[in-house]
Amino acid sequence: MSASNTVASPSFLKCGQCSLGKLCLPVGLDPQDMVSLENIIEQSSPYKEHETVYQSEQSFEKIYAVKSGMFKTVVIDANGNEHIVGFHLPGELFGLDAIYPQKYISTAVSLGTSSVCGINYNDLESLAAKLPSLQRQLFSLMSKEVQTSQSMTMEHAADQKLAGFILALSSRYKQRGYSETRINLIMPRRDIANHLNMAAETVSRLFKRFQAEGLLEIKRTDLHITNMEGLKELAGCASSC
Amino acid sequence: MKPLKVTDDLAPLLNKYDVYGPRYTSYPTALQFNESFTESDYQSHAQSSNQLPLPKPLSVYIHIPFCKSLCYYCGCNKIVTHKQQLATDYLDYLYREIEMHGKHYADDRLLQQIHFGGGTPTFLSPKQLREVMEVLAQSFHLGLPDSLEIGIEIDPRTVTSEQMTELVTMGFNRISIGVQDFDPEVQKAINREQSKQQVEDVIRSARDNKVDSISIDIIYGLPKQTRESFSRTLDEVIEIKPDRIALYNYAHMPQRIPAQRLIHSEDLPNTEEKLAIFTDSIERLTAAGYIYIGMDHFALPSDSLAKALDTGGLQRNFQGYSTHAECDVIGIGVSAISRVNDGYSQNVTEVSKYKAAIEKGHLPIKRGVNLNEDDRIRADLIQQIMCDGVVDYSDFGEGHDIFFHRYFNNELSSLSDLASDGLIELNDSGFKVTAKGRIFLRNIAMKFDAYFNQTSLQNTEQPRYSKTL
Repeated sequence: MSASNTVASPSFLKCGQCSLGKLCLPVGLDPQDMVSLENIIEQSSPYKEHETVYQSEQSFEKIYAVKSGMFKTVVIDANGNEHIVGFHLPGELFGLDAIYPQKYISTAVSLGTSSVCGINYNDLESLAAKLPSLQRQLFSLMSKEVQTSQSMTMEHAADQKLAGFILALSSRYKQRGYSETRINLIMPRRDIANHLNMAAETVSRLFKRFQAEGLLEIKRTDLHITNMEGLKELAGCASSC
Repeated sequence: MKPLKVTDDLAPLLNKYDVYGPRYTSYPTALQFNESFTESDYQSHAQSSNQLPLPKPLSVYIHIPFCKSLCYYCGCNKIVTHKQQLATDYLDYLYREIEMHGKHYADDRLLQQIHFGGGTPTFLSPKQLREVMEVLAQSFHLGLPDSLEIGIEIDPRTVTSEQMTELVTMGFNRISIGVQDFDPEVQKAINREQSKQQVEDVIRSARDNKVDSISIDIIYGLPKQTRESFSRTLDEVIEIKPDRIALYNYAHMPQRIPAQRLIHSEDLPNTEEKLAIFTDSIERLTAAGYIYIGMDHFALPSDSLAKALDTGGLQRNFQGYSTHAECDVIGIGVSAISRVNDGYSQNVTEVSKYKAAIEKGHLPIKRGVNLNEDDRIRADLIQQIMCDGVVDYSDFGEGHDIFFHRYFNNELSSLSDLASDGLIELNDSGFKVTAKGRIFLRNIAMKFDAYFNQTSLQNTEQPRYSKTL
């Protein structure tokens, strides 16, 4: 049996012991450099459901790496509408968009019980200047973020968008050593709908259709991909470009 | 599913497994409900249920607590009266409760199942029942006619053929008829006298109007019952040939159910006789072509319940077995039980308290329970045992993110007894309930009930559960 993404990594682990070390900032660091990184990382107690990590407009200090669970980042547009810009999984960074304006653009909120490592950005900058492999990984993670947000701006039909969203989650979990076919959709359906810019009822109607077509099965929040190829075919460009 | 053969070796098993235990129309059972569960818990479960990727369809249960006369065996929450005005008053509040619930659910939560129970739901006139249906239609979005199940428990003494026609016209498509026993002596002893003619009239009218499913309730273990007398009742039931038969066990618990004190315990069949009545019934009904579904339920092979048993589509809810996809259940009326998302809740039982809560704009919730992770895992497992009767450890483990062997280590070691008694077929990868084992589903499920195993339930002086058989 395969463990799914609900398994939380134990809190207050050092980077060298953390199972996310191969994905997160420490990629390529030797043990001594790892200690320097560990010294600037601050682990907080787990966030309960719907707790705020930082608010938009708050002055920038840290970037965050997800340790367990899931976080969403939300921006409010000129008309006062909330828009969910991303869901962040273990080993992923958020808060990067605050580096340039020196204040947070989005508000980060936990979904379910989740935990993060906070990294003071000034300290990270200085350390990265000394450690080339840290710098490389930092740029690489930033580039990934840019890529993800670009793919989100493409226009697709609703069913393609949703299939693409599921496939993207699947491959991100797979990279993290979790099952690629079993995804725990802990976010409310209104969040998925908001993120993909469609109605909540549309999300469910499409899931129901996908289920009837044998692409996936859903029980409570547990989504099981039963036909990966079929889902990829449906998503077409929405998952790959 | 092979037809069930009743053999001589059944009697010792019936004796051995005849213990007090829950019926698992829910897990955790009502014993775990407590008063720290409030209206706001219910509301937050309703909100969460709307936010699942694929919210469940809705099912509504409406409780009508009134009866014109007292049946001595009955343990339901009821008020015996002839005053129709009581029902008129009650409905005013019931409508407000329906409206309050309706506001909590997203527009795409279609209402697929409506069930009226009691008491005696046919205490209401067809006109009143129509009004209830209209308020439901105003407060919820009804499913399409071909998937909307509308059921009602019928007391044949209170419904004429004309009224039956009216009920079908307004959409009722499943009826269950309380027969209990056709024997006049038994009927007198339980204070429920009704002729076979009355039952036949209602059924003829239902059939003429093409009701999808007709079910008859009978009870074994009633006072004055003998193997011979019940055999005649079975003859008549088989002759009527309803789609489904529910064969309930009369549990004599006069300490808990005051009405039962009117039953003379010396009139009750002794344990041996009662078990013989039960095995006779299984034998007769299966020989007559009925499929034994499990627990108390039998169905003709053509009925959806029997088909669902084959295809693994069986569900278990507060009303017993059903073929419907799993729904969130909203219980409306006094003492009604809801199951929404991961919360069970039960309304107050007294009409006065019911009215007072609604008057203040509150849902009349008395108690309930929030399911934790362990409850959810066990609830799914017990549902699977009661319905499919097959458990594959690795499938179940994967679906619930547990290592089955480790999680249920103690439980698994207690299964060998059930296996050597032939109730389950046990191997390394899972177990399967045998045809014989379906009689003992409660006993099998009890092995996985965390609360049952915590508390001493062999307390026979004040049993909180009925006996399992």
